[in-house]
Amino acid sequence: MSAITSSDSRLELRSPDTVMRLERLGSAFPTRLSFGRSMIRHLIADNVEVRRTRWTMDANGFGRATYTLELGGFTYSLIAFSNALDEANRSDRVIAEAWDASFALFDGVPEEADLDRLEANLPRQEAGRYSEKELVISRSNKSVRLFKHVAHALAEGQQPDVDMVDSIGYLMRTTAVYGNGKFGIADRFVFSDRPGLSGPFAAEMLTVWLIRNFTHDLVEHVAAALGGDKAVRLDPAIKRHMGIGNSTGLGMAPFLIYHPELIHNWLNARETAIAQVRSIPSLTSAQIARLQTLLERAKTHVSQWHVPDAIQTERLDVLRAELAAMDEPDWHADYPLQRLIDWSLSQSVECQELVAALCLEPFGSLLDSLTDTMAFNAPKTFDAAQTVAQIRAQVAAHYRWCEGFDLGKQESQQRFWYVSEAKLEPRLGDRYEEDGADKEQPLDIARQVQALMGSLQGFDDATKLTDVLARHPEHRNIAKRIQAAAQRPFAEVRDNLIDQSMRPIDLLRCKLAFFGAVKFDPKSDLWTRITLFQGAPLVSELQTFGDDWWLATKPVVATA
Amino acid sequence: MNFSLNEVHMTLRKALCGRGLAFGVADDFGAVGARLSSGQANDGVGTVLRHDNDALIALLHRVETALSLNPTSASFVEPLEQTLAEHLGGTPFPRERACAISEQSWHQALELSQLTYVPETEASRLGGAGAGTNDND
Repeated sequence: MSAITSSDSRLELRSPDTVMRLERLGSAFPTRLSFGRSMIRHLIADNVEVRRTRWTMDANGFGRATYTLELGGFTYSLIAFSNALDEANRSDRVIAEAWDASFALFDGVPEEADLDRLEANLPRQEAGRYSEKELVISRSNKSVRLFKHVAHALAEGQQPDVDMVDSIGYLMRTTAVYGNGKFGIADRFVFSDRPGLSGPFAAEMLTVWLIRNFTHDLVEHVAAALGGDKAVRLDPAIKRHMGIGNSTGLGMAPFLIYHPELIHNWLNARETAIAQVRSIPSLTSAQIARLQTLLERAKTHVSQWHVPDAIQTERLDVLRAELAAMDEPDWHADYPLQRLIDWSLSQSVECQELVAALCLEPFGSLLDSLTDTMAFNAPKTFDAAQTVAQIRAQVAAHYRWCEGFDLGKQESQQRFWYVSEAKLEPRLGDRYEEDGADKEQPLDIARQVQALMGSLQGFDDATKLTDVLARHPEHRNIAKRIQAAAQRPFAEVRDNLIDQSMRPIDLLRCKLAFFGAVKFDPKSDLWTRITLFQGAPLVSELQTFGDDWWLATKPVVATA
Repeated sequence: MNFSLNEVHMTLRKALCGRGLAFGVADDFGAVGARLSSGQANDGVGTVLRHDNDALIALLHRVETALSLNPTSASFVEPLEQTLAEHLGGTPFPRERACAISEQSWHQALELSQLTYVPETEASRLGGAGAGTNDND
């Protein structure tokens, strides 16, 4: 353990040299601090009721729908358009131009004129234009396989095959969820101080949870049209297990790097939570029973997590074997969670991160207020009066991890991040094989630190940073990062993001785990599918089902 | 046409990078341009783009040097952006949607932004995320 401490100085957090490595970030599991979880807790606490306020669908399930809810004194609506889509156009890639359905989270209750305006824009997504009334926009494609199966089963009066529901996990998957002013929608500051939407990605999570509800309604509607009187509705347990899918590619990776203060807040909250449960001296019998139940659930969840990707399959095989061989933890010992977390250190990184997430789960009253610290709304700072000696000292204190990279080696800077002209899609290129390195995006943090240190050799210790930057404006970006990181140990991913061996999928999994994603299903080292809100309460059961849906498992449904 | 302030900030940052300004400086002036564009009256994008890169770097240095004499404001970005905006000839309004960016300024910003993008090749398209998959499953 390192000497890093949280604001509660009695707590000892894991070292950023451990936490901020790609391999560990790429092994992250959702926790009760994940944004989907905290959003649902807000809905429960505020007694939110979701009303379906418009449903104009034809027999094929094409048309428009709206849902409305009140949260924290404000009214929001999900607007949904469902369209026919040729199979040839169904692509998860951001360069797609048409989707099965498109959505907006609308600020208030839309008039017909708003719906008409949005119907002309939302199905075109990036090619459309939006107003401040739209807080989030999104689109989704069907899992054709599962949607067809469920619709036909229900139409025949049968429930769908639970194994198929479990193995796919969703009726539709979103391929982008846009917020913060994109294409003219509302800036985040419009709602960032509203109750329930102030947390990071809270508006996006609310949108996605409502989209999940729309997909449930849509499949039941299509089934009813197909089966008439014979059709039945989904069993609630099966319906609850249908989350919402998501396909995520490289576009998500630069976000983590461009927002060091925010990322620190996410990781710092999680690491503080882990340190807090480590410091619990003993457990009550109720807490022990809860942990035992959750551990069994985690084992079952992992046993039901199957993906085609060879690397992830190997990691899951190891994890399953570790969990199977695990002795019953000594829950009655002193500091039992510290012991359990320390035991996990001899296991795989996946196992370590799963155990840490498990240990947080029963302790909502202790930990949930940490979610209030995960947004970054503080004024930004940059001290240009700092001296060269001070910046050198900060680099020595907080960027020693850069020293290990030999950037003289070709493979250490093999890759470069760029934005493709085609629909502005972020991509990774090979510096020695492809054109475009002159338009590189500044994700080469270690290289920028080394370049700054090289330039500083020409300056006296007392020279002010602003005078250095006047001559070397190319270092302004890294100088800002260094100052931000000096106060925030979890601000930087401590790996070389342009190395040949770098796997962007690790960045994606970290971010998606903070959203609350499960069932990571890597399709290459560049993109992944995941499931959100699997097992989460349905709109009708916020008050009855509650917050207990960490690592949902396949429902056990009685057969007729 | 009106714009969110974040899209003004991001577009202007890209435009300035496309014009060859360093990312860290372009980010500051992207933010300044967004603040200047807030509301009904000002075209902050046009205001920033009228100054060449060297002038922007020199202005930043001058303002930071002056601000560093006042320790209470020296380390905050807010007074820096405010003072830069004033030197560029505008007053930043409270944050509101940008409604007065001229079509010409926006077009210029988009054209400059274009210079930061790498043209698509068959190899880069195939190497992009999600390539070669069946998405009808």
